[in-house]
Amino acid sequence: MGDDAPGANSDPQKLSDTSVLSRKEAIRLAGRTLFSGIGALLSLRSTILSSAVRHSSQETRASGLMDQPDGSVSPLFAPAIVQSAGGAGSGAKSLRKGLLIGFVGAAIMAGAPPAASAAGTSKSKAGQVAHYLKTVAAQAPIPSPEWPPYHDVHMPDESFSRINIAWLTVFFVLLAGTSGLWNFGFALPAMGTLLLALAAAYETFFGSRYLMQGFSPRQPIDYSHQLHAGKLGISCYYCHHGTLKSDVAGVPSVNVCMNCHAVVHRTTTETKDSPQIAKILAAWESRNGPHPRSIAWNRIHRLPNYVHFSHRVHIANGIRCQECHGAIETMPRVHQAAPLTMGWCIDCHRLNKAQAPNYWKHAGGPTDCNHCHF
Amino acid sequence: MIDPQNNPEPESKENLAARLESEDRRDGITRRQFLQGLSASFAGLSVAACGKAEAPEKIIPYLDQPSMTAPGLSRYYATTCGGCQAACGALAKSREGRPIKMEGNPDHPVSQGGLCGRGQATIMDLYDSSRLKEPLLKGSPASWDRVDSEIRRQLDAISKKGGRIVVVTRTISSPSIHAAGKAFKKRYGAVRHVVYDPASASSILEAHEKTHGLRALPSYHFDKARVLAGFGADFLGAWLSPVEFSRDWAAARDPLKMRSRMSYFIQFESRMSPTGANADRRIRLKPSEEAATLAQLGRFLAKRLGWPDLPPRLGNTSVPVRELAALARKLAAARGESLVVSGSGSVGAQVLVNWINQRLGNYGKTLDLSKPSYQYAGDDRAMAELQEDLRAGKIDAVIFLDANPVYDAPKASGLRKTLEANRRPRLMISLADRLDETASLCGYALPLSHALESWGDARPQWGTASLLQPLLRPLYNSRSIIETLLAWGGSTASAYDFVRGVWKAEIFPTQKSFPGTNFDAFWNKAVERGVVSFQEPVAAPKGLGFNAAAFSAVHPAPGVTGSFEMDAFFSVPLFDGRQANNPWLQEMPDPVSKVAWGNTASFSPADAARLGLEEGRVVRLSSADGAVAELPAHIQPGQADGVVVAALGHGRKAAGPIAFNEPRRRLFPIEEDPILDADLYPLRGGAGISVQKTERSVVLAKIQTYDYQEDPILGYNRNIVRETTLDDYLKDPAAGNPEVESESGLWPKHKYPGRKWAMAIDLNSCTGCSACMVACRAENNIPVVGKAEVRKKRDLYWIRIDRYYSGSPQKQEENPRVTHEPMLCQQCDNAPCETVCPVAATSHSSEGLNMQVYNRCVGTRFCENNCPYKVRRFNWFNYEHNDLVQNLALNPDVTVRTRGVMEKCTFCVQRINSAEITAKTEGRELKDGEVASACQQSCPTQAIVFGDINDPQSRIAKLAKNPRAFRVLADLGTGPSVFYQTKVRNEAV
Amino acid sequence: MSDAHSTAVPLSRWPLVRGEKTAAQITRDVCEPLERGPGKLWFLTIAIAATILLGGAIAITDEIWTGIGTWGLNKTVGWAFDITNFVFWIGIGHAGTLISAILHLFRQKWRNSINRAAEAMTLFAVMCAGLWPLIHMGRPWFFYWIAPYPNNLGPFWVNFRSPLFWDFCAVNTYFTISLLFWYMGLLPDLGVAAQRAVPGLRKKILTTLSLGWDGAQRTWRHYELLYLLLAGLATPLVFSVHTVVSFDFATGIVPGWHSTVFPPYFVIGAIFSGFAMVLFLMIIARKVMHYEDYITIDHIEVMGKVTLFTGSVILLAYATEFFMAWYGGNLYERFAFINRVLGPYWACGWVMIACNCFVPQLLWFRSVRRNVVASFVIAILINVGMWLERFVIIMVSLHRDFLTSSWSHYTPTYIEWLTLLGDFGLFFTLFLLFCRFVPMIAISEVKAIVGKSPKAPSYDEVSSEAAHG
Repeated sequence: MGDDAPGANSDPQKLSDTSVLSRKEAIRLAGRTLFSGIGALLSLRSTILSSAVRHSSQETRASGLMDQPDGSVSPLFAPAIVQSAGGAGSGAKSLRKGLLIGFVGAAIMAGAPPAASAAGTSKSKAGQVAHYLKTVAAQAPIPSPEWPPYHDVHMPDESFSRINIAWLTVFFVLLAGTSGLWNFGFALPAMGTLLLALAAAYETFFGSRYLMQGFSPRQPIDYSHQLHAGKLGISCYYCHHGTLKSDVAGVPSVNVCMNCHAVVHRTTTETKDSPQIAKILAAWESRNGPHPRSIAWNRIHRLPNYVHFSHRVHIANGIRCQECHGAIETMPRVHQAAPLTMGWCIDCHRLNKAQAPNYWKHAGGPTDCNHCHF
Repeated sequence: MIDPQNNPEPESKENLAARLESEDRRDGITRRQFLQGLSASFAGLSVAACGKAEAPEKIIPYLDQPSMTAPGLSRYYATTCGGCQAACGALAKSREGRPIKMEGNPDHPVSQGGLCGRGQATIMDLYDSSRLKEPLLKGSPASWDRVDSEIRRQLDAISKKGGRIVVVTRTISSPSIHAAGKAFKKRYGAVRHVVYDPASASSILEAHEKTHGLRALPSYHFDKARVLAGFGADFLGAWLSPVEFSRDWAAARDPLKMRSRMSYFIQFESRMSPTGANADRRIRLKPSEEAATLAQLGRFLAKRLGWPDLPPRLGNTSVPVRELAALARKLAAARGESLVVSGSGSVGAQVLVNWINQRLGNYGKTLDLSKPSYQYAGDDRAMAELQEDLRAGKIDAVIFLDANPVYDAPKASGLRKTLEANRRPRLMISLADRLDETASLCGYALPLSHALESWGDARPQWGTASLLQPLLRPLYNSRSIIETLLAWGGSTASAYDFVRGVWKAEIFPTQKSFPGTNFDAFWNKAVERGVVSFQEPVAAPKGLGFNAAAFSAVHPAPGVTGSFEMDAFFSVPLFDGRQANNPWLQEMPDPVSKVAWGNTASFSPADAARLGLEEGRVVRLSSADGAVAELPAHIQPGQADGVVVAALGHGRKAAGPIAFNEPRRRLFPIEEDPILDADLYPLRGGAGISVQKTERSVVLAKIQTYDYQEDPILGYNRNIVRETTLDDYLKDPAAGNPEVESESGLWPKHKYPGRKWAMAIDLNSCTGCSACMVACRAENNIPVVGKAEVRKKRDLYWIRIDRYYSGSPQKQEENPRVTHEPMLCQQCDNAPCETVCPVAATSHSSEGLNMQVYNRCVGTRFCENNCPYKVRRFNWFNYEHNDLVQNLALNPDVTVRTRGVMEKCTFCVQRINSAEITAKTEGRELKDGEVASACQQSCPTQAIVFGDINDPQSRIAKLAKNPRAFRVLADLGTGPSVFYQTKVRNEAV
Repeated sequence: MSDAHSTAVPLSRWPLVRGEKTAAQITRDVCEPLERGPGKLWFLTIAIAATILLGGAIAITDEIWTGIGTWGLNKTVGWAFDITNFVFWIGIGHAGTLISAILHLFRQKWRNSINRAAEAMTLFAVMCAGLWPLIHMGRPWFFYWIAPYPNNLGPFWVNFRSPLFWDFCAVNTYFTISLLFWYMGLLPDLGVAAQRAVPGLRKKILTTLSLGWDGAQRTWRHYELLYLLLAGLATPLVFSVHTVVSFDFATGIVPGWHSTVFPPYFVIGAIFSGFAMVLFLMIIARKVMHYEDYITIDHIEVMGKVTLFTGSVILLAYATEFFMAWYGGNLYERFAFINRVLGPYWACGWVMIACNCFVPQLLWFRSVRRNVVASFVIAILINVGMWLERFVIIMVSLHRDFLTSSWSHYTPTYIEWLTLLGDFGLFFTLFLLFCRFVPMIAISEVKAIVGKSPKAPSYDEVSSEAAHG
């Protein structure tokens, strides 16, 4: 090989200085290459993750056009151009239908907070809540149907094809690069690319390849499920009452929050009013004003708009919220626990009678395309 | 502070904040945030995530959620369709606070569950961003209060001075509007109310005034007519109340039920109308010969049945004598069970019709004067007198309530000149949904709320009252007629309270629908059901006889000067032009010519040959009184010679831009395709029309370009549609339907453990009205592609009506028989498209549906090529969806497809899924008929039946085993799941 | 090659290389044009080809950017220019493989001088063909869905029953094996060119590309074994790839597509249009590069014979199709074939039959076969005819099939014409680059046949003697 005619032996000294490294140099070199390699890899990966979120191109969002399956988003709701107000809150009715409410802080006992509009609430409302605290809430939280013995909640992880193709291709390219560089005499970069290839190999087989898993944007109000669903044991259906009768679970409307927060202005540990609850009151006050502004929550669990997921049929089958949304009642800020990819759903739909958890009415589900894609 | 018993360690606020922060940091900082932090430090190596990480998508709940709504839930509210005067009862599907679909109200006697194409398209009129958005005072926006006060002041001044105030409206059958009108009259004294209809029935009203002494439009019962003779009445297309008439007409022709008593229908007409296309026998005649033919028929009947009076002679007619003699014989044999109807505008012809019906004893049976229809009460003479007074300058104030006479009144150009001249009324007000031809001349152009945005009611027939309720708060600053009349009448009541009051006073006392309820309960039930029956005083005096003096009105038709007679008709898609700006209707093909987007001048093949016209050649029509129109020619088999036929309702100058889903182009511009549209109102009724051929020619935007079942070279009849005659059918129910099934196929058969969806279409009831095409487009978010794309044969209809003439291009018949066949995806069991899709974007479901997964399709189009029925449609472009108001009509249950994706009918799978889910959540099995596809639901004649064929008790299973059932192209072994029933023609001579 | 050293059976036929070339002369004849650099003519032709290619590229960009709507397709005719061009270009490739692989196995020595150019033509034809399945897709950015890769959709595999998936496998196999076979054959010549090259960048590249070819005896033996193996591998491809391409239509239900005669009919059609293109290119190359001694008139005659044979089989195939349509009695099939010659697109039908069936029959006459200009014109007409054949089969069968209500017409748009021409531009640009940078004639193989054949009188001499004698 080399420039001159094959077989001629070149000056031995020229060869040695590049090939023999002292042990210390070698370790430092390896460390530097490894560190830079992993850095490059991770930044590439973060680009993909943020692009998945960023790629909600205005065009598909505004026009409601079908998404490109590479993760771009578009609203599930129609543009909130038509926001009709008025009418009694429905949440309150479902409350009185015997669903359990959790323990509400003794703060109410300390007397009505000064500024909030609660002053306008009639005495009877405060009396009702106080009466409630003394009688029902005093007992320990009664396990409600949505309150599973957590250990047996069935949270599957996708069983097959863990290979991430994007990283697999990166792995092969890096491997080819390594061999190319090596046989053309660039030892140092070849070693660097080899390490990169190893990192890519790790990412291919073991890295968390789901783009949206762990996605947890900051919400306009720091609402804690841990406090409401966990400690206070409020039933999931109290706020997300959409799951019972509609395909869309829905986020509670402000009047549902006001059922309690018309009276409750502080958490159990706070001495003065919580700024978070003040945001609810502000929104509630604006309903008859010139610019009614509801709370714009940031969507976490998002399926592309060519997938039609029905909550009510899963709830009717006895499937618990935690199976898809993770241990939601332990989350101070909600994050997406499951990958929610098609393969992940199909794994549950393919379970037969023996594999399915006992509290499911029907084992598995339909695997016809048009049950989710239409 | 927290109750000690339940919370052992008291925590100060600082500790809590610190704890939450730490928890947030401890497990809160997920791998993800760690990675992002780390990567930020290696900016040099990393590829920068260009652009700010956009905030994720928002979920914005209601502030105070109304009790009955929830996101994702559809609710149906009963209302009345505002598409035309027929006032069909409708159920509007509301989703997330907005109406997205109109469906017929099964309890309503006029619609009986069906709705025509225009009714389905009223959704698109609501979401029209070119509507008038706020009151205009001489062109500049003004508030309602200012406009009302000024109008009240001017009207008071005029009425005090004894001036003439005229209110011009189309037929209004609403008791509330009449009541509001009375209040308005009480304040301003003698207000003259002129009622006119472009599609006028005033000739029928006047004829009945002369013949029966009662100015009323009878209610027609086509289901009771065993022998039916139509003279140019398009009652299955756009005459009076087509949805009601179609349903009754089809009921009388069900061969299974009626057996030998199946209705015999003969139609005399000049153009090939949607009604004539469905006739058992069709005779061609010129419009001028209609009265003479009726007279001839009357004389034959009188001679046969010895009637005392005879009409005067009206000259001869080109209709062969033996046809009229045969018809006379059949009518004589079916006295009391026959019906003669005519769409003619001449009072003389209508007098003859009334005379024949009276003498045949049809009154009280197949048509009823005592229980009349209030749908069309327009008076052409009153309109003519108004035009005279306006020209003479006698009128001080004219108020147009939802009327556009400057476009669609007779001699409209004269009216335009009068309203522009300086002798025009001082005060001109127009309350209309857009700045149309009339509103642009008025000082006050006020926005009218759409029917789905306003409270109101309607009284289409005797003893029937139906309600209008708003589906959403008005999108723009508009008002309904009731609110406007109340405001000008000085009352402050809201429309809701006013209508409630009127119903309490006029309807509730004699209501028969909910006996024994107080008014509040009655009102809630009426609003929920949408329609109420109540006892009205019977209009007609006892002993209604025919007075012969009426024959004085019968005189021969005026001579024809030009070379052609004009037959300007009201087309099914655009009717009188009030919805000319509706993209769904502009792209809806005319049921007979299959032309979409624009008007055509039709000629009979003989005339076309004589004039040397080919399809698409632009011709110039000019009438005796100087009106001119340029239109592309269309050759229409079956049309009478010497007649040029064109549709009214086109050529509007001020309907606004038609907002359709334009294909998005980037590099090379798309070639524009101007809609060659002409307004035919000026030429209407013009006797003599001369036709000049011009040099220009255009390609017509037709949904179907080849019209025969026989191929042009070898002449093989492909027998796509099976038909037979009533006599053969009575002898052998499977007549005309040879067995050609073949179940060959390489692949193992699909197994259907549970349900198997199938559809049955009765070709005997299908009139080809194409309401199903508009309903399908509304339900499945099918984009409107525009004229250029339709011309290139790229329309996106998932269901189409194939119309075949008998004969072939070589053997063109002068008066061909026509068959209509709705063609949609047949959900084949052995589907040729499923085997060839490389990415398995289309496959077979366990319930018999051929699934099309839009997000999996990469667009190789092999499935479209391999489909023998050619029912798959491709998104050639990204069709624009950037008109956010129009996007409100999108159905959130159906994915809006992007470009490069194949789409097709899957039996409204979103409806099947939601019904199955509802049944599953209620723990019960699906009932037969619980799922209705959009086309089945909207079909006025219930020709489409859909259901689970695995359930032997279901209607579809019985129809599939019916001897009349056949499947198209079954010999290919595709195993389609759509069973058609042979068309049975009653050709008993 | 290996038998070159054993007792060679003298070839009694015409001399494969004229002008008593010595080995050194052959090397000079082939390598000098590369070292000398191209003449003005080369720059002119590549400029034309590149601009046409650029036009095609712009058209393709617009089509991918905007959508398939820029083409003239509609709801009845889903394919026209796109799949016609795909089948046309894939067909042209097969002759190259036949010449370099099958004739190698048959020891047909006359192939030695043209096999490299023919194999290069195969490569470029497959590249031109492979472009179409990508750009004819509605959403070309998801082309990788056709490959059965493991994914997290369940996993969701492709439809293994679809002919388009078979196409994907067949065309990729064909391209990789042809590339491998062509590059292997190129190694010895690259080695020679590398040694002749003046030290510099070109030498460095050539040495790298020739993978260190040292011309040792052991290397030759491995090379010849590998070459034989690859020829063996490439041979079945000639038949399998176009059989799979014909399955795109044979498995379809459309009348005019659905017949079992398609596989052999398409394979023979491919070889037929392939040889026409080889004839076309060789006639041009031999004039421009002055290789008349290597690509002799006898080569052209032999190729003419093969074209004649395949042309006659095509004639038989057409006759079979029309007969089967009549004999089968299926009214859809009968109409489909009558519609080709009497329907609205009768012109395409008649030109197709003329070019494919009657023009090649002229090759019966030896004078026509040996006349360069005649062969050139016949080659062009044949390719026009074969392009029209694919167009008629695909489009004319589609535009009038079962339901008469869905019958419609198709007119190509200028974007389609630009893309078609652009594809030819791509083909000729690649071929011109090949002629400029790569030894066009296989030096080692030509040396093998020169050294061996005794000096035999050439036909001219024989015929001139006969004339004067």
